[in-house]
Amino acid sequence: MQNTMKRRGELIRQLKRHWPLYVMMLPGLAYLFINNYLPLAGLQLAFKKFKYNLGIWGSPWNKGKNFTFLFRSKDAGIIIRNTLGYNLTFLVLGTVMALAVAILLNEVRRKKLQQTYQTIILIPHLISYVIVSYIAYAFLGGDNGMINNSLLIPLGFESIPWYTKPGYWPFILIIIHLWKVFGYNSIVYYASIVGIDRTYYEAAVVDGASTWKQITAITLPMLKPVIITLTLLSVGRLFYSDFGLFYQVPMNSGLLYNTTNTIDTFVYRGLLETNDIGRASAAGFIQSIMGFVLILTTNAIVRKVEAEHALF
Amino acid sequence: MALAGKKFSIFANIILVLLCLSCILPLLLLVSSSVTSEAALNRNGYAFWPAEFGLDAYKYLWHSRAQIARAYGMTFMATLCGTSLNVALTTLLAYPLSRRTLPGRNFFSFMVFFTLLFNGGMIPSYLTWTQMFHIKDTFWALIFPNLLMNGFGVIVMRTYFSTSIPYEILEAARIDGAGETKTLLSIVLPLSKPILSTTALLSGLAYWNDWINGLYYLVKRTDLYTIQNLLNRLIASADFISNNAANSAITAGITVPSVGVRMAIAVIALVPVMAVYPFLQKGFVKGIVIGGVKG
Amino acid sequence: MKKWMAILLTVAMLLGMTSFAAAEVETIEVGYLLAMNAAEERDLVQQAINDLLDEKGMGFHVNLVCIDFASWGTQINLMLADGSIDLFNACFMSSVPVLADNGSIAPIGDLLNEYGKDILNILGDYIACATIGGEIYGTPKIDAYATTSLFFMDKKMADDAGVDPESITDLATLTEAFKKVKAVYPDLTMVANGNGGAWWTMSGVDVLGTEDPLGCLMLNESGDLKVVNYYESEEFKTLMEYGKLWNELGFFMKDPLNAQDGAFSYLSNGQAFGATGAYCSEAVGESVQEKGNGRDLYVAQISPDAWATTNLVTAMTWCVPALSDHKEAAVKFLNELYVNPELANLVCNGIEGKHYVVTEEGNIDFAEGLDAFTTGWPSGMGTFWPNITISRPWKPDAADSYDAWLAANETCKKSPALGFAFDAFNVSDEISACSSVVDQYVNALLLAQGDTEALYAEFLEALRDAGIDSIIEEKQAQLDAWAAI
Repeated sequence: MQNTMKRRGELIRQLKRHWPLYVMMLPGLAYLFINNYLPLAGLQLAFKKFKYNLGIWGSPWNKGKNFTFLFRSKDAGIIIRNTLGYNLTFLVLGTVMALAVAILLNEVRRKKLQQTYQTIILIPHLISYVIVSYIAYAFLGGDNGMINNSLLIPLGFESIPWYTKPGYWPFILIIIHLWKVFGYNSIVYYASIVGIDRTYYEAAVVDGASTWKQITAITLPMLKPVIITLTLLSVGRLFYSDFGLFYQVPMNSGLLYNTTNTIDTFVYRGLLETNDIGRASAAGFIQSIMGFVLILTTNAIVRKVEAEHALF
Repeated sequence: MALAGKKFSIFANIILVLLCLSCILPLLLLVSSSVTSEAALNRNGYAFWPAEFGLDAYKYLWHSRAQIARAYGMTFMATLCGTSLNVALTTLLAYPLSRRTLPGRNFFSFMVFFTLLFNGGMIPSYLTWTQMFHIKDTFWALIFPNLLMNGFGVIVMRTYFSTSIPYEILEAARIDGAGETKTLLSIVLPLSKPILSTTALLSGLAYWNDWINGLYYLVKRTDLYTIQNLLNRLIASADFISNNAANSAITAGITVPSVGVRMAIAVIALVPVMAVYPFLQKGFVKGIVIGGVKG
Repeated sequence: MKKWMAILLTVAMLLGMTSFAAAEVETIEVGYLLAMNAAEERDLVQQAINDLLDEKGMGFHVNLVCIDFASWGTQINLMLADGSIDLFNACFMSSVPVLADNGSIAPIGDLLNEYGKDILNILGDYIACATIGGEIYGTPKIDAYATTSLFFMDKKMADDAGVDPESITDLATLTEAFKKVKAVYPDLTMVANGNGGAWWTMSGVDVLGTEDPLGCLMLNESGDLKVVNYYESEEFKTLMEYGKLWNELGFFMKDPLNAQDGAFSYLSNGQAFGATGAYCSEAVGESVQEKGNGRDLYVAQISPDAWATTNLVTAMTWCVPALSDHKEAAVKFLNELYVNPELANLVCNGIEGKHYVVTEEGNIDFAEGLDAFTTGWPSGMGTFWPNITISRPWKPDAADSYDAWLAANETCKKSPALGFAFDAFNVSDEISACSSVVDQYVNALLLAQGDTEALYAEFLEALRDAGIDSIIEEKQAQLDAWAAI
């Protein structure tokens, strides 16, 4: 009894001390409530047959029928393999590349140059995937493409009909993805590197540490929390795929489906005709749940190993 | 700011120049194909230097010059407004969440994080914003839905605060009698320039690239269209004409260079932002320094 | 900052609340799809329409909601969810049965009987096509509904090569013509294809309510109600054979699978000899295409007959949303659109003297100083509206050119399943899966890309796995039940 009183007293003291912090959070939390939590009522559509005239709450339940189309086709295995495979590759290579670029950027001494690099590497992020698909086609086109016309044929090789050979596409898609996001992804890492206290490096230099040593002994360990956070966040999206990359860039070429079909393109193609909101919600629901489970698991592991770096 | 050897610095420059080239060359290709005549494009394929100049694509876009100028204005305003609000909201939420002693911190963090995984979908969001807040066909439609603050930014900033701002400094401030607001403004913010400008950049890019809000919420007020909405419309019109010339007399013999138009549109969307970006970057960093000093 | 936020939100809310007070006259919101112009003079046309409605004492006004092509499907869909639109043409979205099934459009049979008698009169039996489960869910726009497959070719090139369009009656004779042209223009593409590789425009197939022919009636082969798998039909095999032959002879475009434009854009800019299309007759097809492409064309019919099917009739159907609060007025306005030539001319062509002028021949042309780009009201979108045939045609079409459309509807052959509306509910999973398979294989097969024989076997297998047999069975059962009534 006394114990709980004491604990309650402590809690009140804590709340008193921190009230300005709660007030600060209010606008942000209010926004999340309006923008993200209110529309969550839509989650029930995954289990309902959506009727426009009856609205979200009034539509009838339909006993999980929305989910069956995902597993109806025997492509289910392929699309899950593709979605996960690509995302894991993107996660690993993307992180390595973004880190490398951020570290390299930090080594550029001339401020002007550094700014120029930073601006230029953001260009790909500003180009929409529709346009990227044209650029890719400019390079890969069978008869018109620059790789065939300016590289393979002059060198005496046979030209390659890229858009009909699924085997090449894992590499093509990975390269295009990395190209498009590396600048953007390196922004956050770069900000964190800039935030590292200079005195660590000064001490290291006094100790005669090489540049490489400084990177491995100071920069990377200092970045660990950020790397963990960003990785955790990506883990939650392992079941999502970028529609533009997988649909527009391969130009929806049927012959490439084996290596380009992902959950999102599959759902898009399957629902194009009926625009069925219930089934689209069902697919989204599965993606969210899988992401949720993955992230809870990873977060639990992180919490075990290094509690302070866990997300929550 | 590692104190690297000169050799490493040169190495860094070389790699970065190569990466930059990989970003610029496609852009060059984009520009070159936007000024190549459609026939040459189809005949000879793409090249870094146009085989045959043709400004048809830009001529087609020239018809819409007034709208393009206005749409740029809207994008600019939305980006400016939205980004400022975004940085403020994100900071105000991220800072308390970075404080390990805050009761309920994990719960609130989880609430933020949850929004990254689950969403209700297009129609529920639309109904919330139009029926409860009536933002349809107003300027606010470009600002409020989805972009004003997102969990990703909050979590990233929280991570920065909790790793880069030593707890001792905050303790010292508290002992000196500084309130939470004062601590945030005069101690935390000045130390957080990198993450603030990063958040601003991420949010600015999101507003600049966004076309969803215009698509969902601007039906009658297309004069509020941002550049991305307008360019999408122009692309779709070009597509429609080239795909449906069969169906009607719309074009009356006018052919639209659709590939060229798309390239030209991409150029129009890109070049101005590349031109103003360095200034914005500089200005923003300055703004934060001043804000920090004043606070 | 939080205060700001609260104030902003409140202000936004208040603004939204007050904005709806004003309207005194009942106003209906009517969707209009914009393809090219932004309809800068919408207000003028709208005013003219409302004046006309006042003159007739209709008791309501309209507000034209002009939506560009890029946003059409998404915005109409959203507006169906909150009832902010009252009348629209369900084109470039889900089919009418799907819209009826998901409760987004209202049954309007009773309203039509009261306020839309003229529509029922004009449409006659064709209204059955928009009737689902005994309820009328929309009114198909007036059009030449039937189609047959046509080949459009550049007149000059054909003349140069000595090709007589009369001699072309099927794919075999077309191949001979291609050979002649190829001899004169060795680098030229013979048959252009559209987006993703489709070079063939199907006709004479009743797809029975699905977009792809997943279970269909082969109208040119038999007149009975036997649902078959199109992809196993002789017709499809013949198309594949010609695809293979034409590919070997170099008749297709470069990288045909990557085509991004409509087939006719290659025709109009001189990169291809011709392309296929589907219209009710050679003459109508020719007039539409010559206007659209600005080139002199020959047209040859390469499929036996023109057929009307439910899908073709309902391709553009006017519907009233279920959540609309102004259904009566919407149907009244719809009725006017079908029968009032003054109104039809306003919506299809704009204001006389301002946007167009009537020529001596009785057709119309742009008003002085205007063209398709500079006019303030879209000039070529008349086919969007319910009844273009009571408006004036644009130059160079003759003043009576729409008569041919109406005549075609009387004389065309009608599918024995005309009026049958398929309820896809039981097999929607199978349809999703099969459309995906069709997407994957069909264009590559028809263009003979890759190892066609193995691919074809794989394709049929995949279709079977995806459940095409259940679709065929379901269609057959529903069709038999429909025929029995």
